[in-house]
Amino acid sequence: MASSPKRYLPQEREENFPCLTKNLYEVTRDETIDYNCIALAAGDRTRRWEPDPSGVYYWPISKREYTVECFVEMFESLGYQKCKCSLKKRLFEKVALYYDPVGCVEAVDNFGLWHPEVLPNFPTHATKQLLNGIWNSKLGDWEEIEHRTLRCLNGTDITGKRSSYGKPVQILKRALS
Amino acid sequence: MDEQNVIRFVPTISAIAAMSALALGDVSGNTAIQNTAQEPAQSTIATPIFFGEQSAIAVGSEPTITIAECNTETDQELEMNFNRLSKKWKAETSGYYSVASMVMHPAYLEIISHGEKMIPFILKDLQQKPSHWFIALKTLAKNYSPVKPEDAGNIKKMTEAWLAWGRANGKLS
Repeated sequence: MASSPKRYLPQEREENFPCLTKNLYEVTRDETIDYNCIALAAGDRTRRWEPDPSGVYYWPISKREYTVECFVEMFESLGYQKCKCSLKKRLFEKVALYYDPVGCVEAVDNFGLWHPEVLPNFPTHATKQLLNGIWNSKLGDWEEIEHRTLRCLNGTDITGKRSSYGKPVQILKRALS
Repeated sequence: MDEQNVIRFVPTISAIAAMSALALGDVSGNTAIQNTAQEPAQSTIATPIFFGEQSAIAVGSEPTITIAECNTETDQELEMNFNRLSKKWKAETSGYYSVASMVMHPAYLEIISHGEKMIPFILKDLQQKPSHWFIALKTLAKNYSPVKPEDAGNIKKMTEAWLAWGRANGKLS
């Protein structure tokens, strides 16, 4: 983990992650909208990676979809391949993708409009394993953290009041260069 | 209320998907929600393309609602409306993990529904602090973007490009 003193998320943000306890994580960089979780997992803190069909944001492959399959294809284009184990292996670096199988489909605002913070089966998050086995995550536009387990960020919230990442759905690995 | 100056839409999932298509890809020159001058009863909704199968998730159909009397709003009223919607959008999407979710927020969609007259307020807001206004701007500028392809995703350069475009086109003082 990074050097002390340790920093943590503001309480209202930490509450979005019911499994994220202070002994399991620390904030390592301040909040910024300059990059997101996918960019960080891909090793890029200079721009935001999004598969938006309008092409406003950076995405390295031609297929642009908010699906787990598309995110896997993107990481495969970077040399990663699917694997099943999240444990640290000496010669490999790993990333993990999260998705939310439930979503927030019950969240409706005053206009009667669906307020889809989390769409079912949307990929919600990507995290990268550091050389020491700890995971490195950028939490949306919020802070960057290091967390000891993948489960730290698990959670589902159907109220639409919180961010929720669901759970890890795919691990990918790449040989260290 | 002048029927011809009202933007209407039905808040069904298909309408939301159409708005998202508008915001996230289907910006082929026409707005998905059209002025109802030729069709006062209900707007024409573009074919939803963005969420595909997921757009079939039903949340129920509601009566047609009036979103805004765009043509009768003064600039001051429009700016107040923008500020209210912008504040709500930022407050409620700060923890969202993807732009796709952020631009589906009703407040963001309502800003887009007001049309290109919202561009100066968006640029002014962008000038104060970068935020995820780029999809709204591209939508309102009829699929035009001043951002170089190699700068896609670079928030600082995207912001600079849009502000420069706004100044050059008289939309930002």
